[in-house]
Order: sequence, then C-alpha cells, then structure tokens
Amino acid sequence: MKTVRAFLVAAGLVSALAGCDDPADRPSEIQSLRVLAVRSDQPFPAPGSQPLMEMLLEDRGAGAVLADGSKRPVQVLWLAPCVNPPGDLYYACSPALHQAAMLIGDEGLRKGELPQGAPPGVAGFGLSFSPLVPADTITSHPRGEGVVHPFGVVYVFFAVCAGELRNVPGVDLRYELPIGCFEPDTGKALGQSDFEFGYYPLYVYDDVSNANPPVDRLEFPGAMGDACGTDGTCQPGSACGQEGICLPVVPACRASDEDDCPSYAVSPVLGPSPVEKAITARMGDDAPFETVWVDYYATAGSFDKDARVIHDAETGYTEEFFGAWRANATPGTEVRLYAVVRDNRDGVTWKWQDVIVGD
Amino acid sequence: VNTDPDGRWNVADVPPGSVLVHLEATGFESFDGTESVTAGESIEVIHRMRVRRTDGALEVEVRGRRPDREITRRTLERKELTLIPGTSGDALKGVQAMPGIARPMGMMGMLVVRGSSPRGTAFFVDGMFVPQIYHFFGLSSVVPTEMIESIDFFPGNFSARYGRVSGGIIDVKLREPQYDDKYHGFAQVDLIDARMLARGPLPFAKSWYFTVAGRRSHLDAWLTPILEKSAGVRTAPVYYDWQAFAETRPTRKSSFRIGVLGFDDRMAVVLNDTSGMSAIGNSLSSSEGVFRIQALYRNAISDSVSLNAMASAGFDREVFRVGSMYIDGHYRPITARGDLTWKVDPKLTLRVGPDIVIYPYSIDIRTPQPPDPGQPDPGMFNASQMLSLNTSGSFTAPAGFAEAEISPVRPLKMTAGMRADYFNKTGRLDISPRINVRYDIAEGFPRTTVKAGAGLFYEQPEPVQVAPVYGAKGLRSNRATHYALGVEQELAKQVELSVEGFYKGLDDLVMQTPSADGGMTYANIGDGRVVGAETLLRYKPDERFFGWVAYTLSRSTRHNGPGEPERLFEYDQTHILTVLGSYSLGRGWQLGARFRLVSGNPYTPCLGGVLNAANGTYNCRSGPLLSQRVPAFNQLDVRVDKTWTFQSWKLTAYLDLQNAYNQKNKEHASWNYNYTKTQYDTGLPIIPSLGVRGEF
Repeated sequence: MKTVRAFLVAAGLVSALAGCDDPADRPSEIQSLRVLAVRSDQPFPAPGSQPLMEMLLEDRGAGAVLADGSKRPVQVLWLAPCVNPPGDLYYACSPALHQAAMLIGDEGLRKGELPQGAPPGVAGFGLSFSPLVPADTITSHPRGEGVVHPFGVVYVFFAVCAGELRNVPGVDLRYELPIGCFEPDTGKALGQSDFEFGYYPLYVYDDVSNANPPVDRLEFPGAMGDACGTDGTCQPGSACGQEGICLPVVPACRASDEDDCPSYAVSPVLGPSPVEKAITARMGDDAPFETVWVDYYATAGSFDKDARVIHDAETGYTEEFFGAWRANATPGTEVRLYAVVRDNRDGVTWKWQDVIVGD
Repeated sequence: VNTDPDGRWNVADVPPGSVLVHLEATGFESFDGTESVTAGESIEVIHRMRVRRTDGALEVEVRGRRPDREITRRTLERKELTLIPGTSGDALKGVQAMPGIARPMGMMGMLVVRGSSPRGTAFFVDGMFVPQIYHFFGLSSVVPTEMIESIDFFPGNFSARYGRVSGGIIDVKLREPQYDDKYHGFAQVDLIDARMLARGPLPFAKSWYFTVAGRRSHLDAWLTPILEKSAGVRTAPVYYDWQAFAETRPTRKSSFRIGVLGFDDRMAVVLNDTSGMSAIGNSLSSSEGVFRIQALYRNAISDSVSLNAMASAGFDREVFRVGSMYIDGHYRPITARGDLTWKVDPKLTLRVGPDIVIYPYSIDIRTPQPPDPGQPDPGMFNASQMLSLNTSGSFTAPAGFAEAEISPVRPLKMTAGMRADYFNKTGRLDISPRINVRYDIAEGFPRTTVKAGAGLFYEQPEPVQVAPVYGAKGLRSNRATHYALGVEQELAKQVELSVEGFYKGLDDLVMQTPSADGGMTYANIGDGRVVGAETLLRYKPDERFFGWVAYTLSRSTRHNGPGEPERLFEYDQTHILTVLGSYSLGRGWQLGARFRLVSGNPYTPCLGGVLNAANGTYNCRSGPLLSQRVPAFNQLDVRVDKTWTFQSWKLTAYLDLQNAYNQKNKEHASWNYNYTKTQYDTGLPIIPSLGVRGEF
C-alpha cells in the first residue's frame, strides 16, 4: 500500500509545510476574473432530472471597469455533452466538448445563442443553467467492483470570458482547451486572468442524495443588514452601501506592517445538521461523516487564512473556523467578503457581506 | 602459503566467519590469532610478530575475498561507512553516493537505481527483507551505522539468490560480536538523534556474546515549532529503532545468532489553513512500525560444503490518516531463506536455496484510487470516488534458486543461475535465468577484468494493484531484462577504475488505465527501457585516505501503454556526478568533502488551471508528460572529525556541514493556486550537524 500511503502523506505534508508562496497570489484575494463557486440545487441528481446550477462570479481583472465606470461584459457558456467518460476522468471529455462547441459555432458563441434544434440541457449561456441528466446515466455506466450504490457522472463544463468565446482551430486536445477567449477587436487570446474554464461533476444516483450545507448568514462585527434610511442615513459605525443596505465601516489599513491593523472575524453561521453521512457509490451506511469547510474570498483586503475546515471526518468539528479579515489601504472602497461553504460530496452554499472601508 | 619478500601474502576464497591465522617465520616467535572475515569483503590486517632476537618487526597481511558472483557489487567498508561527508555518519545514506543511484529529492527517503522505480530496489538485513530503509523524510536509516559490518549494493544483474524486484539490491551485514571477552560500547548524540550500543560476553551464558543498540530522534525539538506555524501538533514527530542480538559459535566453523530489530515512526498534526486540500480534511497522522525476530545459522560443514540459513517473523504496522482517508494495515511477515553451497571441485561450485516470504495482512483502507506517476493531473486526490476495502489474507511468495559457479580456466568465472518465483496474488510462476561472466585478462597486479551479464528479473505487482476494489485480476509481474558489459582495471594498489554499460528492457509493466467496467484499473500494458553507463574511480581505504569519483550517464523512458508516446521516467537523471574523499590529517583529525552535480528531475508542465467548481480547487492542465526538468543540483558537504584517544576509550567530535556553500537547489516545480505561475521549491539550506561520540 506504499503508493497509496505516499499520496496520503504527500497530500498532507505538502500543505503542512507550505507557506513559501507569494503572499500576493492567494486564492482568497480576488484580483482577476474568478468563478468562486458553482452550486447545484441537487448535488446528486437523479437520472432524467434537470438540476438548477448557479455560478458565483467576480470580475476584478485589470480591465474589469470600463472608462464609463460600468463593468465589462462577461460571457458565460455551459456545456454538458459528456456522460460517463472513460475512467470517469474529466479530461477524457475533451473530444465531446470540442464537438459540442463546434456545433454551436463561433457565431453562436459570440452572440450567446444556441443553434436551432439544439438538444435541451446540453448547452446554455448565463449565470445559471439546467443541464439535462440523461435517463440512462446510471444504466450506461458500468458497475465496478465494490459499488453498493450504482451511479453515473455527467460533467458540466463552463467557460467564462471577459472577451469573446471562440473555437480554437487546429486544437491539440491532449494539451489545449477546445474553446478560447479572445479580445473582440484584436483577436488576441486572453489569459487566465480574463478567462476561466472549469467543470462541476454531477454524480447521478437513484438512491443517494446530498443537501447543500445549510448556512444562515455570514457574520461580521456590526453588520445588522438594516435598510438605509430614506435620506441614506445609517446607525453610527455604518454607512449606506450601493445596494441600499447599511454596511459596517472599518478604518483603512495604512500601517506598513499589516499586522498592526485590526482584523475582523468573518464567520458563516451554519444551519441545523450541516454534516451528513458521506454515502457515495462504494461507501454504504458505514460511511464517515462529510468533511465540511469554508473558503474565504475578498474583493479587497486580506484574510489570514484562505480556507478553514469546519468538520473533519477524523477529528470532528473545528472549534473556530472564522476568517480574520484585514481592510485594504484605500478608503472609500466597498469590499465584498464571501464565505463559500462546501462539503466533500459537491455540496456548495455561499453567503457574502459588504463592508465599507473608511478613513 | 608463503609470503613474498616483504612478508605479504593473500588467501582467496576464505569462507565467511572466524579464521584462525597461524604465522611462522624464521627468527620470529610463531603467531596465532583469529580474524573475522565477512562474505564479500576483503580485509587487510597487520600482524606484528615477536622477534626472537631483540629488534625489528614483520608486517604480515591476511586477505580474504569472496569470488564475485555478480557483475557489479559495490561494498562499502567499515572505515568508509561513518565518514562519508553529508550523511551525518549514516552508512545507508552513504550508499546514495555510489554510481547508478539517482539523487533522491529533498526530504524523500527513496533509492532509484539505474532508472528503476523506487520500489524496484529491495533492502535486506542479513538476508531478511525489510520494507523500508529510511525513517520518515529520509533523515536517517532504520539500521544505525554502528550495527553494520558492511553494505553490499548490487545495482543490477544480481544473483539468483535475490528476486521479486527488478532494480537493485542493498544487503546489510550486521556486525558480529568481538570474541575477546571484553565489553565495548559507545554513545552518540547529534542534532537529529541520540544512540547507544553495547556489546560483549553475555552474562550467565557461556560462549554467547551480545550486541544491543537503540536510537531515538529528537526531531520533535526543532520540527514541532516549524509545524506549529501552520498546524497544531498532536503527536510530535519522532522515530525510534532498536536492535538486540546474541550470538554463539557452537563449533569453530559454525555460528548461530538470534535477535530482534525494529523501528517506529510517528507523528500527527491538525492543519490550521487547509487551502487547496480542504476536501481532504485538516488532520494528518502517520504511524509506522516494524518488528522482527531473526535467527541466523552458518556452518562450514566441511571443506567443500557450507550452509547459511535465516528465518524471521514479526509484525509491521502502517497507519496513515489524512482527514477522511486512511490506511490501517497490519502484517505478520514470515521469511525464510538460505543456501547450501557445495564446492564440487575447484572448477565448479553449486548453490541452491529457498527464499520464502509469507505476508499475512489485515487491511482497512479508504482512499480514492491513487493516480499513476506520469498521468495527466486527474484533479484533487479525493475529487474522485472514494473506495474502501476491509479485508485480510496473505501475500504468499515462495521462491527457490540454483546457481553454478564455473571456472573452467583460472581467469574465467561464470555464474549461471535460475530462480523460480510464485506469487499467490497473480497465481503465476516466474522463471528468471541469469548469467554473469568475469574474465581476468590480467591476473595479479594490476588486474584487468572484463565482465558481462544478462538475465531476467521479475517484480511482482504492488499490493494495491492486485487488491480487490482497487486493483485488477489477472495481472502478471513486471519484467526487466538486464544486460551489462564492463571492465575493471587496477591502476595502483589502492586505485581501481570500473566502467560499465548497462541496458534494461522493461515490459509487462503494470500501468493504470480506464476500466471497461468504469473507473480506473491496472493492466500489464507499459514498457520502457533504461540505457546508461557508470564509471567509478575509487581509492580504496588505507590508513590515510579513501575516496572516489562516480559518474553515471543514463536515460530511462516509459510507454504508459500501446500507442502512447514515449515519456521520461519520473526520476530520470541524465548526469549524476559524485566526488568525495576523506583524509586523515593525523593527531586524530579527519577531513572529508563530497561534491555532487546532478541533473534535475523531470516534471510535467502545467499550461494553466482548470477549476473544479464543486470543491473550489484548480487542476493542472497538463502539458506533454514529464517534458521539462528542474535545474541541475549541486552541493558540497564537508565533514571534520577529531578523535581523542585515551587509555581505554575514545572521544570523537564531528561537524558534518551539509550544503556548505548554501546552494539554493531547486528540488521540484510547484504552482500557484490556479496554475498560472510556476516556481521551484528549494531544498535544504546549509545544515551544520554537530555530534559527539564516546566509545570503549
């Protein structure tokens, strides 16, 4: 079992001993076009269903705000043409993706339109999408040894582009993505700061379900969620935000050493029964409980930790899982703080809290 | 035999064990003494005979050398074991300085021999298989140097006595007791561990002699604070190892030894920041232990027949947990091996023996299937379906071998062997014919020997590859065909040059592949080859100096399956150069240095990241597999020893300065969270290892 062991140890130790990365390059600090999460209202949908999938997107790339102060347009394409790929590997879907994108064509990709007669639930545009889970997803998936809950998998891919989506001609599918993101005027290929490509695996069961983790709200000191007064006034210590809600105001962090600035505990407030048994294809009633964790993201300022485990299958609940956030140095900024709570069976829930950085 | 005019003489083919030496010379009083001769090692001793008259002394040399059965056997002798710079005196880390061994990446205790996978090299203690050679992080070996008499390293074309692996063999010979009815011992402490050893006559047991030794790391003193920066430590990282043996000689030509050895490594942490691996959880624990009881019997039954027999039993434990994934494995290994040697006549020696391994196991495991090296990034380790298995059974692998050493003419030595290996998990019998030939073009000094060999070597699939749920049925053993051709040339009494070319054809390699019934499985679809040359220019230890220059040029490649492009082996290192030497300055001072220049390991570049939006982590979008290398590695290690000799004991202080010029060597490539930036993680900085040792 040395091979398995080596991976377990590597997975753990790499993280335990990490800490040399560029501090300006942390996942919690949103500095580009980012897909922070995708959730399905049914993380484990049934065959023949059409779960609703939604995307949490933030665009903080260098060109995110146009000269007139508006936000640049962002295209979101969804593709779900890949069912039960070889080895259940997402990268084995490349030929099916390529074929689906070619069917839409460059014109359809540019306009965000599907060709007439396109089958429902295989492609879509926008921040939400309802893929059609084929009725034979489970029956067409070979049943491997040790499977107690038969399953299948539908890969739902997305391409998010702050430019124009196009097919990539002459693509080598072993290494390249079949779809690219290009500057509309120059045709220059845009990099990952303006183009996100990813997937959400929909594991399909008849007899296993999973609920997204219940999260009531995101707690921030002084945040009451009150609507602004008619004249835009709020209680002392808060100010009216862009969405007409009174937001807590915190001082800008101008100290040369960030540690000299106060930090604010941001924490998701969980609903009842946030942890389920992690029953999956080969894990029956003796399955452990889920691992649940929270990823923190901020549009400005910084969290002390990018992610905290809420519940570990081995050690149970973590006593403290808040993220300590410090403000940025620029006063007058309205900052959005996100907490994305996930479980290890693809359950996802998110909450956010806006904060105003004052003088 | 008669001596030469200088009083020097040689005896070859001395059976291992204690040898009675009787010397007579005109004008001198006769001399009687015993010398301990280890198989595969030559010894040189100086006997001073008492002159019947009033002045003068005579130097007499006793030499024993076992005939070579392998193309290449590298033997590290006692003097070298403790003094190789950069190893903190750890003999088994010194093996890494031999040609043919790739430099292990920092903090990874593995041996990659002639382009074979790390598990292709087996580690034996007096013929007993031991599952690992180093404590965690490769910081220290599991058998302390002081317990070791010699280390035999076979980089390929090894004898039919050894099997189940297709890379190399490391066989450690433990020290025999000193039959002088005195007590000896030592204690040593350095920055990594503290150890002690005692040996001498066993009280209340006439003619029995004992050796006991133990070691405990104090890593916890300095590693715990480092871990605490990002983790809470539940069990401080610590390792132990211990050995206790008793030996007797029932007759002048036989010996019997019984004893125990074992080791234990453990640690547990809870991570505070789990970015990138949150889905796994935040807890990590590791606990591994090995215990063996071993009996060893040797008997030179007659002038032409000798017997070696070894049996061992014990238990292994490996318990690893990372969040919701774990391995909880318990094993009860039983091994038995031996050989019966019959010297039919001076031209023919026959040897046969069994080599039996039975590994009853009880395993409870829950992990996803591990990806193979050289696969595109399948995504986060636990993003795929979790598998679980709770089972017990036995890995049973009986084997037998037969060898004939033929010397039709004096300069020619030919060893033809055959080995048969059965493995119950494949249900197959592997037959491995092997032949090695050595021919002394010039005998005597300066000796010139050409050597060549060819043979089949089978390596049984890994347990995970044949396990229910995780593995596949119907697998065969991985197969390697070794070819070697070389020459050895004595250049001076202490200086020898060895040049050897080698080629390994690999086929039937077990590789991961999509399964017809979903998920991934294993099949014998891989192949590969290793081609290279090793050069060793060695100054054999004398009173003042030892050292060598070792250079290996090689290329190791694989095909993951039919139609797949050829790729580099994941630990391929084109150039491996080691230069080391250690010089006795006199007055107890010894100064040594080791310099290494090694090609960087290959890695697969990431062309960007693909987001798994369900768990929030990015997967590497892999470029051509293993198509880039980290920059070359270079490092200088320096060691200084000072020994004070008192009437009945010695005190030694040493400084082993690893990475003396603080080179920031790049060990492996890593990426930022979304694989848009590549960086190289650097290895260990300058490390002064200071130690003190007292022995009597």
